[in-house]
Amino acid sequence: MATGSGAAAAAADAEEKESGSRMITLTSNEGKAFVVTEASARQSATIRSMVDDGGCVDKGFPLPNVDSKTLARVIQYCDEHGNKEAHTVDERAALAKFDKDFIAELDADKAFLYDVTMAANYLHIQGLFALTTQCIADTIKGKTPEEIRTAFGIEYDLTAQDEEEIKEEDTHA
Amino acid sequence: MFSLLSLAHKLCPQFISPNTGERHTSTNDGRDQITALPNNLLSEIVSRLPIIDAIRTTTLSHGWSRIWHSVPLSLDHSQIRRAGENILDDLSNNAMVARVSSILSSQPGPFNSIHLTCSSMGSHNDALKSWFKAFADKHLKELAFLNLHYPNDIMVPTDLFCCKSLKRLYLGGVQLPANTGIIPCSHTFHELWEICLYRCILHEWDIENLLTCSPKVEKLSLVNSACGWPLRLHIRSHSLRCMLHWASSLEELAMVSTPCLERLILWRDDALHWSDCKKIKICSTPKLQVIGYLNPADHVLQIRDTVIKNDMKASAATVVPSVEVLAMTIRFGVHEEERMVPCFLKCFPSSIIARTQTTNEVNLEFWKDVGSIQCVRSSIKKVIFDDFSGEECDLHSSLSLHKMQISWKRFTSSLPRRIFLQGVLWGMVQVCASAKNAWNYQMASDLSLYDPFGYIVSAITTASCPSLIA
Repeated sequence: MATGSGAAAAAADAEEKESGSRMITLTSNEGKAFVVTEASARQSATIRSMVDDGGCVDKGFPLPNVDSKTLARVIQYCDEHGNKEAHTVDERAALAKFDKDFIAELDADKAFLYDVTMAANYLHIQGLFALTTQCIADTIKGKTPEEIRTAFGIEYDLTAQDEEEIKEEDTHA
Repeated sequence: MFSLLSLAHKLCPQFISPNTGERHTSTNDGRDQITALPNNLLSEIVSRLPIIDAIRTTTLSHGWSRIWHSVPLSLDHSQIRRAGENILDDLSNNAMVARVSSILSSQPGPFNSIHLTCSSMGSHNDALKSWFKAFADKHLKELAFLNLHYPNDIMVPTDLFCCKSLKRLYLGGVQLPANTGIIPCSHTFHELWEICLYRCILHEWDIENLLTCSPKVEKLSLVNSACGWPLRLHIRSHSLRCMLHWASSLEELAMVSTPCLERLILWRDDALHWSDCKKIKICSTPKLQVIGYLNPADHVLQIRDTVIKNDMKASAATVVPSVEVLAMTIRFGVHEEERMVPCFLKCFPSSIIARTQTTNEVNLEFWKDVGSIQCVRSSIKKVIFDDFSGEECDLHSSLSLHKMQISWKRFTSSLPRRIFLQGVLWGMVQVCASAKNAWNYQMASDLSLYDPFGYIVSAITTASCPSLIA
């Protein structure tokens, strides 16, 4: 496999350039099929490696860890980043604007934001993963622990042992 | 003694709430979904937080209490400085040292990057030793350590040579350890890719040891570094791609064996004078593409065994055919210096871009003779005059004298006296009065730029005036 994958990748690249518009089917855990361009699908390193390894492009890719609602949103990101050029200053600015709006909308629904983050993690979509985790970090930044707990619904449940460890670090550090 | 939590408390007192043990209701929907995320996700989130926020997450809940400890540490001193603190003030510096010590000992590692600016480390010798021990033990990848205290009398602890995971090393205002007891070998810094020594006091063996210890190093930058005695640097490295000598002092720089060297940057090495002339010796550099600024007032150029003089004929022994970008600093009107221009051009006959930084008004009379040099006829596509200070009509008429058909456009921009001229003979002649301080050593050592001297010009032309490049 190791020896073949390089050649397969090269072949896949060549094929991609030739056809340019090959379509790929992604299936959510609810069995709903989403047809996307290969360029869009290749935003996911997980799918990219399966395609390059000569995976079953025709049969499509089932994604048992992603539900339809999340997948639709993830595809929205991949379409924007996979299908559009980002060579000029204007094109990059347009993508940055898309990212900003995209994440602002997600941020309003924390549970959904986590789902998209999990999906980006599972599918290895680097840009999306960075975007969502940075968004969560930005919410934490500058807040007191009290405020963070309130913002995320975190329950104060430090055990006596945790507190002991923290205290120990407190005196040893 | 400082502690981690008291550190967070001292920096942002309002941020550490008393442990009330109360149950908190969420503004969300009451469920804590974030803590349910896998640990690698939480780690990713914590890694994106400034250090104080990151430390504070350890007090959130049981699920969060060990996350920070699992995240590779990235520490930047600016993030742990309190408002109003000045490092040059002893009290502030002491507090800073204590904070750094506290964080370094609390975090089990690995350490990703540590950027520290301190002063008066002389009175914190023990702390300094423990820091470098921690850097070594916890596999630090990137270290920037700057000591602001003058004189630069801080000796870096010998544990530096135990930091085997270093990829980038920036040291400033320090001396390298003497008598490390460690025999330099290629296993010492087997990952190290970039070395920058800023305002360091150096010995010849410091650089030679560092290079011996770093078999993969690609960039070596000496910035504002000096020593109080004649320094002859003999560079031998099988991996070095960029050597940058920036406003530093030495007597001789010899690229003895540098088979991968692509770029030799010399800039303002007249800033600190220890001797009248510096010898720049190019021995074995088959891949050298970029060299400059050569300065005939300060440099004696030697190629292999031959010192380049103005009455020499070009021969295979005095030619470096791989160079494509040549930059010179010439005082036009100073005859001795002008006469070196053709000599330098002959040494680098494949130059595509010749760039001159002029310190006097441009007088192009002497280019008359230059026209007969082979590379000027065959390969040079662009001649660029930086920091042009003459009148454009003078330049126009001098170029006309040499029967060059010139079309020139006044480049209208906020920067004064920038003119672009297109000459038939050299494809393009550019004249620009560039912002002198805009160029810096990071740009100069950016290996992705074809012409590192042209950063400003190319940025301007491609952004504002693409038609001129065509």
